[in-house]
Amino acid sequence: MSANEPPGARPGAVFEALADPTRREVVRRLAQGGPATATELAGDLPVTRQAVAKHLATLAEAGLVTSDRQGRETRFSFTPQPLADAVTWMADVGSQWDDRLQALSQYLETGEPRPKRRKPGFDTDR
Amino acid sequence: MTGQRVEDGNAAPTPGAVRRSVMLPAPVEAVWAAVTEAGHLSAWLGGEVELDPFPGGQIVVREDGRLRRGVVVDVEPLRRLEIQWLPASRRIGFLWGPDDEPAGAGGALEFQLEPKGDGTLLIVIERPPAAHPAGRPSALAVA
Repeated sequence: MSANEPPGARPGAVFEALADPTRREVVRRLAQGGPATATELAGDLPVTRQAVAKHLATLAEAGLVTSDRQGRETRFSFTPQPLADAVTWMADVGSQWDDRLQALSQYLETGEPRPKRRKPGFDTDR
Repeated sequence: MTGQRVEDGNAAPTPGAVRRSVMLPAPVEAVWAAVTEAGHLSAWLGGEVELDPFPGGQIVVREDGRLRRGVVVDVEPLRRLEIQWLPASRRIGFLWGPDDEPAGAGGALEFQLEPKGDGTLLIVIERPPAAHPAGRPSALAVA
């Protein structure tokens, strides 16, 4: 069982996992209330234990929860790092595009190509 | 394997997608050239770019000793270019994204162009790496 994903590996998986309101609620419950079993979580939420188990599996794949089995009981905990990494990914990519689009705008305006320019290889006419 | 698309404001965007739009002081033909011709791309994208701007064509970006590789997923001349970045592979030394991003990441990039008066509205959408490493089993089984 690999509950320990490399940090930042899959920001998309984190965002997709948190796009679902029930999973957000599970995360909120674990973040605020501490570790819990699937049965306990199902008691707090308007969904079946089976549904909670599926949501927990999705959250675990995104690295947002880890599980700890003791005897017959498995407790789930919230792990915040992948969320922080995903938010950082968004911020970094956003600022990279801000820089690139500014460079593009200037390039189109001044028409000054940098060195290494090659011959266009694609006909842009319709 | 077609990437999910944002149908310009209608469909729900991919969660976590970064979207930027900018009005550019150039006609759509010039902007299309700037996003599809390797020489132009190399002038502003950052790094040295190779691009075969047809569906299935490859894009290679070399920057600071790093290599990103992707495949052109869809092309609609003068309107849209969509690229799927290939997952980084440590085995052959490709990395895409921040320096410390581990292997297994991919992501996608889409340009949308729209003529507006004398200029062009360019929309850029970068979707986050989503797929987990192929063949990886579910992370846990709930007893």
